[in-house]
Amino acid sequence: MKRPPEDDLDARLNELFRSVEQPEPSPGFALRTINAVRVAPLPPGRQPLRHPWVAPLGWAALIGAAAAVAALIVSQPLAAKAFASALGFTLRATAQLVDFIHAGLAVSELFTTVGNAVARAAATREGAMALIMTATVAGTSLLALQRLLFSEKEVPQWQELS
Amino acid sequence: MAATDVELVRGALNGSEHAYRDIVLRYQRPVFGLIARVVRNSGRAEELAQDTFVKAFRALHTYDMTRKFSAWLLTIAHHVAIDEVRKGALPTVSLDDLTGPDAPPIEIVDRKSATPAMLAERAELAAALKAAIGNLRPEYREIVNLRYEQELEYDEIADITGLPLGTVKSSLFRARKELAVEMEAMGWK
Repeated sequence: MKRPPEDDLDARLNELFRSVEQPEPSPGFALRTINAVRVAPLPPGRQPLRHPWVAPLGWAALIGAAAAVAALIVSQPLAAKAFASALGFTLRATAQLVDFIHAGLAVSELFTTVGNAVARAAATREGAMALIMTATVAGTSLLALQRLLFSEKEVPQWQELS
Repeated sequence: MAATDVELVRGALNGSEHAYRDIVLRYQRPVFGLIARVVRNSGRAEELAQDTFVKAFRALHTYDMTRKFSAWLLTIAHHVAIDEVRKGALPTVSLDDLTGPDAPPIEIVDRKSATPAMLAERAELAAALKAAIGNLRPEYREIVNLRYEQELEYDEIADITGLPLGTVKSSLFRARKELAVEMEAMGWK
């Protein structure tokens, strides 16, 4: 069955229009349009357009703030405990140092006192006589001991065996 | 998978710029094409197309989601174009200007695969078609665009233009005849 001329013309025009490019706006049209839409006044109750990164950025800021607060809450007892430990250690170390210095001073004082007493005693006549006598007795004892140990008549035991 | 029109509209109503930009990218050609065919001035058509998208966004909450979004948007574009025609601000372009050596460049489909001869032939054809459409009355130009460039059905055209279906058919019948005469005069067989 032959198509009516009207339908034929319709089909031919369809074909013709498909073979050529439709007019299109210049590059950047969509961006310019969105900019115009963004500043256009809106009826009450309507939400304006948000930039695509506004919502993620807002969420990131919110999560960051929450994480910071949580970290602060969690770390506060730990930080306090660490501070208290450090303070205790410092105080103990200081006390031990003070004790050590104190003990050192006491020993030094003892030696000083004894030294002073000996010096004072030696400075007197009796003290000097006693020191001389002590030295003489010590020297005599040492000589006697030497003679006893290294006598020429006495043969060592190991020489007798050989 | 690409979002549907209704999903994009919902996103735009919730303030998603991304969603409305997708709508603009999806419909910039049909909207601009419709207006450009009526006003026949690229620069002015671009301004009016932008105006169409601004008006559409402002009225987006009134869009009935059971209707076809393209038809709703093209209805706005139609009113914007008709308002411009009523202002009487449309420039007239002679046939010689459009087909002569100083004719504006024509966008060609599939430039990469086409040979220079094919490009030249298509450019010539596009210029002739543009000139022939330009010689039609503004109402016919719009109906021709909706029928052959947007490839819409008669009832959709009636919906967009607000004309009775019978008027759409009769207008299209006359527009086709005029277009065929114009094109045949330029060598189209």
